Amino acid sequence: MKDKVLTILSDFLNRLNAHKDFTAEDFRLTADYNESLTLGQKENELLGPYNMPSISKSLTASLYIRWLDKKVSNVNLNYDAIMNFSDEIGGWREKAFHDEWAPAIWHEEAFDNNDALKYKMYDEEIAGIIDGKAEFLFEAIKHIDTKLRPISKLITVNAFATINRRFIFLGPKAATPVYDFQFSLAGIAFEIDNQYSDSFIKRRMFTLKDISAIIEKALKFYPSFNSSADKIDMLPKPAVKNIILTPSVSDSFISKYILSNLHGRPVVEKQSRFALDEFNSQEKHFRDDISIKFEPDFDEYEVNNIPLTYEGVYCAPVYFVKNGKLQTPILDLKYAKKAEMPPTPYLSAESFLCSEYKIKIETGEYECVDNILNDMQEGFIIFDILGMHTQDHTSGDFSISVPHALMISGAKIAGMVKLSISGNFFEILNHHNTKFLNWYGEGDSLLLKCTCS
Amino acid sequence: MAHTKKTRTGFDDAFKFIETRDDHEILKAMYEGALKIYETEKIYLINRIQKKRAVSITIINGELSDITSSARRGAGIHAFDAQGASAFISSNTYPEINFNAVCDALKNLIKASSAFDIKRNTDIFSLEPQLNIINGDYRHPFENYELNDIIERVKAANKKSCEIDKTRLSVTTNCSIVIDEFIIMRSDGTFSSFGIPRTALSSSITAKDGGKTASVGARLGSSDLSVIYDETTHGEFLSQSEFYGREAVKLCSAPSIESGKYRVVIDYALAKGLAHEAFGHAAEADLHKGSILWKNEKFIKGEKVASENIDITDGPIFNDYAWQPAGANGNLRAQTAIVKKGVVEKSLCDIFSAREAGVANENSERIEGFDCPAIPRMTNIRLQHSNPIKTDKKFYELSPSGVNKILSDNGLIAEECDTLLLLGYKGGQVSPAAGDFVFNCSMIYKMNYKNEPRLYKPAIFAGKTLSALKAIISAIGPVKSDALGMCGKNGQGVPSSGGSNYYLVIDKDDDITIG
Repeated sequence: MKDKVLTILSDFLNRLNAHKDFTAEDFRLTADYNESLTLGQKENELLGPYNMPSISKSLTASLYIRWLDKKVSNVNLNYDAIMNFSDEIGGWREKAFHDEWAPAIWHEEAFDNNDALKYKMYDEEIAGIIDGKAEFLFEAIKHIDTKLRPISKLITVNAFATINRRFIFLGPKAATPVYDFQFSLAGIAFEIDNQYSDSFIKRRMFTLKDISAIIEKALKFYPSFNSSADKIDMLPKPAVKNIILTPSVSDSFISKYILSNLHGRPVVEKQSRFALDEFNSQEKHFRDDISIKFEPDFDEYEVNNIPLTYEGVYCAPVYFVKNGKLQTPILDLKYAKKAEMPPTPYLSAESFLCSEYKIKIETGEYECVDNILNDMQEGFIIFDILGMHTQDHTSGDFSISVPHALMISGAKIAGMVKLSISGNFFEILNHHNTKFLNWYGEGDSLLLKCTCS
Repeated sequence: MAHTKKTRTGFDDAFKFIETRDDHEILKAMYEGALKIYETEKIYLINRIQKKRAVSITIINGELSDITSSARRGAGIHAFDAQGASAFISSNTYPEINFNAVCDALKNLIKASSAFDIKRNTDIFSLEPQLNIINGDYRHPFENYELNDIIERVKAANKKSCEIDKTRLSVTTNCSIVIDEFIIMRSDGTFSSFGIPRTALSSSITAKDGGKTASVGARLGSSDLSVIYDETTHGEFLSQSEFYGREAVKLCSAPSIESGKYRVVIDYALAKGLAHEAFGHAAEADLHKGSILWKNEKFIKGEKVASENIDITDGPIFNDYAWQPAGANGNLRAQTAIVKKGVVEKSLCDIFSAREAGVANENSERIEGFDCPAIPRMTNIRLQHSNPIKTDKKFYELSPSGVNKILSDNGLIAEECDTLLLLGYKGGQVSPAAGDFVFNCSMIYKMNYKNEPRLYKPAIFAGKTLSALKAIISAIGPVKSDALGMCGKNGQGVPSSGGSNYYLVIDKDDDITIG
């Protein structure tokens, strides 16, 4: 990571601030320098013309300008536009617009750049891999291939490593950054026979031990994918049954139905299940024992461990729902202003270039999944689902295909079946029968009852 | 519109084109450099340069909410050694690129990876050189219009939807305009220059009534600004928005359909989903293995998968939202008859996948941007019935009761089960190994002999791809191929589109379920 990038950006801002057409009252520049390396194995063959080693370098930035005439501009810049901005200013002005809800530039009081050191977000080892010491990525891919080959025909593995440097400049007339972070990300994902997939991602370099955990899970469950069961005795017709959602399936339900309905824009613009008034009056929409929150994961190198939003707002822990009652939507600066509420951590891909941020359901009791399985006479474990992104999050209704569900009969795995599951997620989540489980230490999962066919 | 030569004699024309550009120095260095490094070191390069500009306008409930403009420019270089090992480097610092330093880095990457037991592919050396300088001749190019006028048109479209029911509807309308240009230069002298401009107009409509909520959407696109300024095309968007806006309010109180087996009638947008997600991806040669189109270690060319009335074709259509005249390796892309008269004919492949699949190269590769590797992928895919029931009405002139009447008049209401009409594509997902698909629609109508269809909430349309193809028994109307989407294969987002006859009739089948 070169300081040359900071020099380029500071030079750009010095020239911009001096330019006769840059009649800005205030501005914010959030700039990212990124270097990455990807490589992989496709269907048992390492590298090849689709999975060759790829190195990418880029400098991008988003510029928010409040002009003297009270118009605003939102501009995404690339390197060329940064270097030759004088050709661009006319376009920025042309696309400026009046927005009565346009927020002022945010200057954080609760956080300064020294606090960034508390957040372990950057791993030098990842930088070394991108810089040419990539043997471990090959070793990791080979490790997965060797371990999974006995149970599968086609193994696809992709690995990546990225390092980033983010600068946030806050105007007016700024040419040195208020915030300057280094952060990194590395991950590996595999897919077996186009049927079963898993991944590991963190802000540090993964280890073979990290990979072993996801391999062990595949070795435990994937062989059952090829052992079909007949569900006709258990499901002669559509019926309400117990199902256990694995952590990744739980996450997709929570993202689709809860996160989508908490974002400030749909709430304020009446396109969410929840109305803004209901947050103000703290309406009860969930069970008493359910709270929904975001908090930085102070475990080192976790993806959720982010200090600031891309607008420079401190990511303080926040409850969106507490004891079943709505507290606040997820608010960026514009919708915080429009909602007349404080901004919150804003969980979008712009926040430290990752789309894996998670909200957490906090509840009184988590049961061990093995205890549930040992008592389950009839039910299914849901490993993957098709079509979640097509569902209507506002209604809460779901009607989803399950290509791989393990049927449980008499507390034993009976084999793999295909299912359709349907119901209303909000009604089910609030039902007293719905339980929160700990899935083998990996993450939270859910036990619930819904219509299966 | 296109200047195309399939020989290496067109080099002079390439240089003449380069001289007209403001980045001519680096273009020339990269073009000549690619020729030289192949001659001297047998390193074959594919250079891709992209210049992209975009503006996105968002209107919420009649008010301008956001305008975001973006610029993106960069170069990606894919290198192969004589043994077929390859590496890729991209940078957005273009035109400031040290071409020789990048070539050295590529050679180092190839050398380092060659120490492992890797897949090698030398087929790029057999790709024929081409010169393609393609300038689209559009009726409504972006540069002919004022931004403020575009905003007013988008705002008017949004307000028209809001006014259907001001108290119960909330409408977000987005207009995305992208000017996207590519130059591709290879070590065999190939030089291709083409643009893939695109405009998408979409409305997200949320209805709230009686404590219930329903969300639907309307969308339409074109290469140029036809979707905003062509009376017919823009009129179709308005008709689509009005229909969905009205039905969204009714959906709040609509009952749910009982899960089961039905005869289903799907609109052309859902049919595009079926053709693209369920069949088209399996027809992409890099995904053949383990897919429903791969048996006994080969592509199932010659196998019958549908009635002889069914053709499935993919290829670029001028002024379509997903228009891309040349592949991402630079050679012209043709129309690919994947299924002809019900029989599997061709695969969507590129030079790297054609030989292994045992089919001819179709130059079907696409990329999201300069920093992405090229992979085989659809542009505009159409599932066409050759003997449809004819109608003189336009698509949006046919109401659900109008479709019901056509079905009744032609004996297509099933007697042994209910017949459902599914409207509006809300996305889908496919398991390529088993050929299982899941799509969701915006709404469902149960057909009847009174031609008074009853509205139901949306439910999933799930089944097996090959069973669904074989179960197509009829169709209504001509082919409409403007159903747009964004294809996310391998994490790369590229515009896609396609369609079918206005409606396809799919008979009840044990492998197809609604709900």
